[in-house]
Amino acid sequence: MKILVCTKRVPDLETIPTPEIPPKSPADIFRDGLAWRMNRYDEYAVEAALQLRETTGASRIDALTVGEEDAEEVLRRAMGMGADHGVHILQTNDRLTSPFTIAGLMAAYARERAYDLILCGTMSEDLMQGLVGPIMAGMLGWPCLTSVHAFAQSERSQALVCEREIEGGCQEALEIDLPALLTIQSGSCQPRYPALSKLLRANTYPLEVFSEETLAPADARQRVVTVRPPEQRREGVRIEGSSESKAHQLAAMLRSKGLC
Amino acid sequence: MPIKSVVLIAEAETDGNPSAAMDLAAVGDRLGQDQPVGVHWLVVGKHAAAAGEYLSESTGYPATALVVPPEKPLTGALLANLAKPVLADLRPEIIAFLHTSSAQDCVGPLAIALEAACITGVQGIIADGDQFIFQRAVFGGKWLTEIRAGDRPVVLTVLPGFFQWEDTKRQPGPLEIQQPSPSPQRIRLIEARASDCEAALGQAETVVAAGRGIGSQENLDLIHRLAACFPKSAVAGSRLVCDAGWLPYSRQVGVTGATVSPALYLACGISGAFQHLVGMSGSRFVAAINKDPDAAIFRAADVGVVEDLNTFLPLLIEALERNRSYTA
Repeated sequence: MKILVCTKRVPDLETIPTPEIPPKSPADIFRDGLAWRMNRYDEYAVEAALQLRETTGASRIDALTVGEEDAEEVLRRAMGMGADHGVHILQTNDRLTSPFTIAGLMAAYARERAYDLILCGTMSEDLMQGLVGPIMAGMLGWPCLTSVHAFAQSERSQALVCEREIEGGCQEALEIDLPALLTIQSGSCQPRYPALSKLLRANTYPLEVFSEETLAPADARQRVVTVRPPEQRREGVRIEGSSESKAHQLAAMLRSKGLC
Repeated sequence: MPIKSVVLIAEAETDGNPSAAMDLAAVGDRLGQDQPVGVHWLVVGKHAAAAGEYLSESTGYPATALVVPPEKPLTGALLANLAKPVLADLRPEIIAFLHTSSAQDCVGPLAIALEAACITGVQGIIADGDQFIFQRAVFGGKWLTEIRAGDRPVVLTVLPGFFQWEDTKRQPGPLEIQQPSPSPQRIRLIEARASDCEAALGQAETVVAAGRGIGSQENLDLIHRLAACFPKSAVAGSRLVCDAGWLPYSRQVGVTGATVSPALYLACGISGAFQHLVGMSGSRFVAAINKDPDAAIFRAADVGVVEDLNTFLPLLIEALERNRSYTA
């Protein structure tokens, strides 16, 4: 079985501030000084691919990313975890690129390369759309299941059985025919932490690099026009003072409202 | 101004009134506030006939019900396949789903089939000339983005709880019932298991919820001690806390967990992504403690404290215990 895992480099959420003044250009929220790493859900996708190889002997796991030069570090990490090969589609973008553009580039790479399974994270932690995977599946004409947290080979050949949680904590088991695209939710496995020696070795592996132009970019279809701080949905009164004082004020407030 | 065609797609796999779909009805009304729109229901599933009747009567919008045979459980892929011919016929400019698992499976491929744009997790709509701009949260809820779809049709998923239906007397809309016979599918539902969410969560008057901000499993002890300060309380967690194995999944609040509406929700170290907020937004009073002053949870809380949990929770527990001894 040949597996492609799609990954993204994202900023750490805790390093993103929310000033009350919207930035001039939407892309300005990705200011300098952010901490970057592999999207957490993509780490689960890489781990799921590695575990499937351990149980079924998949022949090859490729890691793919679309982004600027720095995005290479997520491929290095995926290879440090155990992926065989890294593919980098170089794209100069404002990091708010339409999911149709990203999915179009990834599908252009995957098409004709005879993958049996494509895995993506259930969403990116920064833009949270969960669309690149399903759109890519649509472009390839493959079946697609989102937010899968565990899967295994089915008794039927060329099919997988997938587990997922749906609304209200209910669970589903579904069978999907290969080739297929799954988006992976966190849950049943913990992504391995690559050993330093493996990370160092991964740094020496050659990458396959494409420029976006060679892969016939797709129409973006939609565009982020503004970013703004979210509305205050409740009053959000801030309690100020020393730590002790805040504790007393909060306790008193809850008591006065009959909540404790 | 030409009338824009809007199709609201409701899943009807379970019995009973499709109350969740009323959020979609509210989206139909919202779109119609600024421009003339023609809204149409497409109701799909085992119970589509009854659900279609309810929705067309209560909202006044015409409905097409696709009654799926019970031996073909509805999946996202089946939903897309059944919807495609109806949508090709109605040619809507806007197609809206609730943000469910099935919808997330099907909106991407459906957008490709319809050559449409696609925006997930919509929580606000703004008119922009004869177009619309759709708002959705990014960065764990710290920012909202506004997206324009250009001249193409657009497929949306709408978050629950952001659009409120106003019940007014309306002329019932017409209902057309169809019984499609689905072809074999590449995705098949093998088993559906009911929720294992703890009943205690739903009944608790105070829910103390831990997020990744608690830092380590050892600190859960503080959360349990805090919960013990309140009668009829329960401890819950965000998905991240359950993923880390610090709490069982049966304690998870959010899209893939329980929905709770206690008198008091104490959010400890919770960032406030919409996936979590959807599960607790019905709480009567929300207090949030987080060391990140920009955490999105503060916008969804009645009162907020910017503090590190490790130092603050012992102080709060002490203050609450003293409170209680006064009362006693």
